[in-house]
Amino acid sequence: MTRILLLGAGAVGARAARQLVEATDVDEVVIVDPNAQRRTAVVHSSGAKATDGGSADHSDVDGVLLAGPNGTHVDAVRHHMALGRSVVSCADAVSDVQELLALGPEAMAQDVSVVVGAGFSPGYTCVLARHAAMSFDHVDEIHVARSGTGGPSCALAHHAALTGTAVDWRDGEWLHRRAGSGRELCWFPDPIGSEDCYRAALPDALLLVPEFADVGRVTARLAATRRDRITAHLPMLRKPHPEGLVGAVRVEVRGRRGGVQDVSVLGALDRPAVAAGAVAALALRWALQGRIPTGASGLAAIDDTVGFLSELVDVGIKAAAFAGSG
Amino acid sequence: MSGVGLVPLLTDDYQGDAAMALLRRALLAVGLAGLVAAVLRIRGTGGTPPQQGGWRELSGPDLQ
Repeated sequence: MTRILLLGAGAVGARAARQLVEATDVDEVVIVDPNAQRRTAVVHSSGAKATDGGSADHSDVDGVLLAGPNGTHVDAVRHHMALGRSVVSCADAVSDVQELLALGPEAMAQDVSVVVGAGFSPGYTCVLARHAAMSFDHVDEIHVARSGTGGPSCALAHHAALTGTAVDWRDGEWLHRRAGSGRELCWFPDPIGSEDCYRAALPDALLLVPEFADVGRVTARLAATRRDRITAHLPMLRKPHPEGLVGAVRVEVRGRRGGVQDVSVLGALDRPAVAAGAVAALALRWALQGRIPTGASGLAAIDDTVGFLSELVDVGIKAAAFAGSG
Repeated sequence: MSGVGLVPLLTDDYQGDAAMALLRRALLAVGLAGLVAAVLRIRGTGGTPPQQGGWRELSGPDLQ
């Protein structure tokens, strides 16, 4: 019997719960959230396999999915990892990701998988980067861009990311640059189309660099309007939406194949919270099946990207490739 | 007498007022132009769309 502990019943957590209860290899999903009203609503909408973690016993769960806000993941991962449980974290703050990746040796010693940054971006973008890289003899550059937000926590993280420090990888060194700089017009799958994207405090490079030996450049950009950039230094002037609209991600991989320089561009279009929930739920199931290496890593550590992407297609999360030139 | 009939004399005060009016108009024009530019910069979009190619769903051979 497989029991999953789901911490966080927000936009992503609710979608992850839905994916988990529909999986045949999951028998019970214990849902925990400090907001009792939200937790009860998710439990009731998720069917018979979902139970309210407010009163349930969490001592014999097999795996843990952390879908709460940034800043709440590191201690939870330490706790569950010490109990020998594989953990999937949706945290996407740079500091959280750095601390979670640093738990790698401990996770190896415990023989568990700690999947870091398992969402739409990072997460799905890491799988797309790995999938695109497989067709290259050598990967020189990886550039990730994303547009849109999931739930309110994601919107707050988006707001904060435009004022922090961007972390890029270039020629064997970490470069710290001002978030909100480096405007680049990126083309996302239709109907999103073109969006101005800027450097931001995103953890994608931290997750991708360890998985791609000798990669020369890794960058991540966030789509933002000029209004977003101007108001980024102020507190959010209005409450974020319960859930954002359709978002998109784009991964550009440059490298050499057959002695020739080439570019591969993959992307996806979906509601970010829906895609993040599906990716996180599948990542946890794969971790429990032993299909994700032990230690702490992002989803670029997956070898069977075809299998992962195919299972996501089955739940409606589809990738796209850009063909042609601009 | 300081003047003849209704024709004003071009005194230093009059010249100063005219210069201030000109300056105020110039500042107003620059301000309005700046405001319009700011609105266009905040709300405007740009860029040339790709002239060839497009997105296609990954399927079949792409996922093998």
